[in-house]
Amino acid sequence: MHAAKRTDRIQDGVFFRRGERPPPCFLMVLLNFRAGTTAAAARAALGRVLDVVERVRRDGTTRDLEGAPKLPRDAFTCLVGYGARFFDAARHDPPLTAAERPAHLTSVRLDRAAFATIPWAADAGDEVEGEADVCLQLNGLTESAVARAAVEVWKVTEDEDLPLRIAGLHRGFQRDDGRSWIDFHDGLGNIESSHRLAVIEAPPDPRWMGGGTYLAFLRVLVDLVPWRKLTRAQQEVVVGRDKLTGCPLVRVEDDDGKLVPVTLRGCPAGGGTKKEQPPEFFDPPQRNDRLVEASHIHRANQSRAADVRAAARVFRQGYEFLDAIDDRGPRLGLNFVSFQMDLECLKVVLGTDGWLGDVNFGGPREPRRGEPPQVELMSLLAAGYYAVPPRAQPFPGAKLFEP
Amino acid sequence: MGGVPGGLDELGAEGKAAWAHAIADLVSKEHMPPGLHAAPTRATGERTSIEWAAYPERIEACVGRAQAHRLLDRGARGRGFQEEYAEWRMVRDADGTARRFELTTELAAYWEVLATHEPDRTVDLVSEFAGEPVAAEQLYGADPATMDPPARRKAFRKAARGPLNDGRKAICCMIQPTNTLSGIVHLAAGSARPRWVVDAHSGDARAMSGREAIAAARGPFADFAQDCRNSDPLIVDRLVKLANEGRVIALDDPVGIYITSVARHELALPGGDDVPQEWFEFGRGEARRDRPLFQRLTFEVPAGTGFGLGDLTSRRTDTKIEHGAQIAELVQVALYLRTGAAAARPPKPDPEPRPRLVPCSEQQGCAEVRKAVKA
Repeated sequence: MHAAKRTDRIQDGVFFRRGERPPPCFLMVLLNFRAGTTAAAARAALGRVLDVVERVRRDGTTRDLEGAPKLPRDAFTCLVGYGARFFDAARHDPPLTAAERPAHLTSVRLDRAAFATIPWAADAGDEVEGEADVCLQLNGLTESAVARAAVEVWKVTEDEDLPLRIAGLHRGFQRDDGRSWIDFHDGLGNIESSHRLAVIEAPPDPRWMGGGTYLAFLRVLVDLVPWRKLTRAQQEVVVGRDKLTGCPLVRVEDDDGKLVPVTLRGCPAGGGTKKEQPPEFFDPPQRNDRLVEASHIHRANQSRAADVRAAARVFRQGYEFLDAIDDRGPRLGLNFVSFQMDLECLKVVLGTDGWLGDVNFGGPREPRRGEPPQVELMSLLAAGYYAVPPRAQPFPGAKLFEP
Repeated sequence: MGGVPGGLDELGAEGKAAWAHAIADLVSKEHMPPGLHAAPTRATGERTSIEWAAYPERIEACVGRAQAHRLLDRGARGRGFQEEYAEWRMVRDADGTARRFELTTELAAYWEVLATHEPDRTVDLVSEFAGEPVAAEQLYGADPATMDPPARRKAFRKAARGPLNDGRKAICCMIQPTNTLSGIVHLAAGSARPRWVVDAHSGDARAMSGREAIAAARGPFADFAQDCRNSDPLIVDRLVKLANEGRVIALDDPVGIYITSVARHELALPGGDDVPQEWFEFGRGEARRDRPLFQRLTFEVPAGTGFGLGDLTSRRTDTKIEHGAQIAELVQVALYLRTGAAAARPPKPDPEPRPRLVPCSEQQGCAEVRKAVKA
């Protein structure tokens, strides 16, 4: 949680610096300004909210417990982002900002499918959940730390009749085994710390975003029912790694119609800890194997370069969720959160054929006998894109409200 | 070695020989590193591709998106900045309404061979691309049948700078100075060398990134690649990594730059539906089982629909289509390579000083872009 020495201007809440790890609890708080709010009033309201959050974070002070023993300090971070809605003059009269909307900061498509192959979940609403004027990403060591901050936001908006309301909350947690709901290791292919700043730091176009970053938030419902009907070998072909060890596949052999995934020789190395693995473990090179190339890990990282925009790399910081378990099975998934120099990077990954633009998750688009069928593993419950300006006083993005 | 780009079947024996000779001649003048071959060998069994968007990212970094889009659509002047090994034109009606988008990755070196040895085919193709009959004299300045091959080549070189290729009447092959066969070979030759730096965070030796290798370039390869493009840093990055692994590398045959896909789902019709696949026409190549070899893309709204390209929306930016650059950013192009297995004993890391990376908006090359915007 304690930031390393800073040479960048990225807000707290992006855990990209060497030695940093995201804390286990996540809460995305979405805020919309009331219709008719002037830019000046909106600025004052957001500033007030962030003041309150900062007091909770810094001093452990809560609104209704003045004078009580202090709560633990530094238990969470708060990152502020601005959505496409904030810049939309059709939604805000008078406009909240005169600033230019970053080109790729758009609304998420609501009709039919948000992305070419990721549909909205059957019970998603008629409006895009996940989008708002402003998002506050809270990351904390405990669930109570982030929840307490969100409730303090509600209190101040109520007590002081601030012209904004909480439009949505999305919770998540990190699994302590480093795996996702589909049981494979998650995040092995994330970017080396020395390249992360280059991947996430936004250029100065528009100027106010220089040194900031962009956040993509996708609350992805994962359907374990069809997933668990795949054989282990089929699952490994879809993902591109061995299910138990995380070792990357180098080829897939066909043993009389039965898939036999073959992993990197000598993998896992040593005792199997991350530190003992060779670079190819984390960043497996391209293979001349149709199935390996069609797997999720290869589709998601076609270009492999780290500090080049065209490589469309994104720095992931995801959090799992479990909402319910009923007759239909568990309602669970991933709060996919990524940071990137431009939202175009994620749109390229999710929208390009051969990447993830022609499959829902991974595997061959036109499977042959015995190969994993295309299953609709992922659907969307909520989604939103946000511009995350650099750290500034009195708060990031405060200048956006200036005429 | 020397297969016809796109797998096209339009050259006779003389033309094929000339094309193979053109490649061999170019390679012979290049400082090829020992692990790089101009064509596949028995040791390069694996195919790999490097893909990037056809959109000139560096130009946007220099002058911002809006200015870049206007510049890139500014006729022959704009073509000079279409530097991602893909060039396009936007065909507009008299009132400026965008009607058709045409993009090519065809190499001028190939078209010179074609024009030299197959003048009838060349005239037919140019007529097709111009959408109107073109007389041979317009291309060659005279009846090509009366000219010897060097004269035909010279005449075509001149015509390629004119309206039949600069976008005013047609676009046939690339003309931007670095979008060339020699540019690709020089880029590969300058890249396919083992390079290491000491990582600033971990203190371990690691492969130089593409941007670092370009920034550290010296000697005969000082200008081998352009930083901040989509293409060059990506190509350099991959080739350095392959060389560090001790792999033998070859340019795939047929050498060329190929269009691999268009993100058509990112374009919406006025009613919100996706643009139909049929509106995109891929040409000047074939779809092979394992990889596409297309070198030309045409995107047009059919007559009778009641609207034009300008009525479509780019979902990526939630804006109406005004400029060709908005479509170019949806087009992926690729360079195909062949590689051998990783060496049992890869080259020993020999780290070089880590170069300072200059932000793309502050690079020296931006001065030329800014000057062009003001002109």
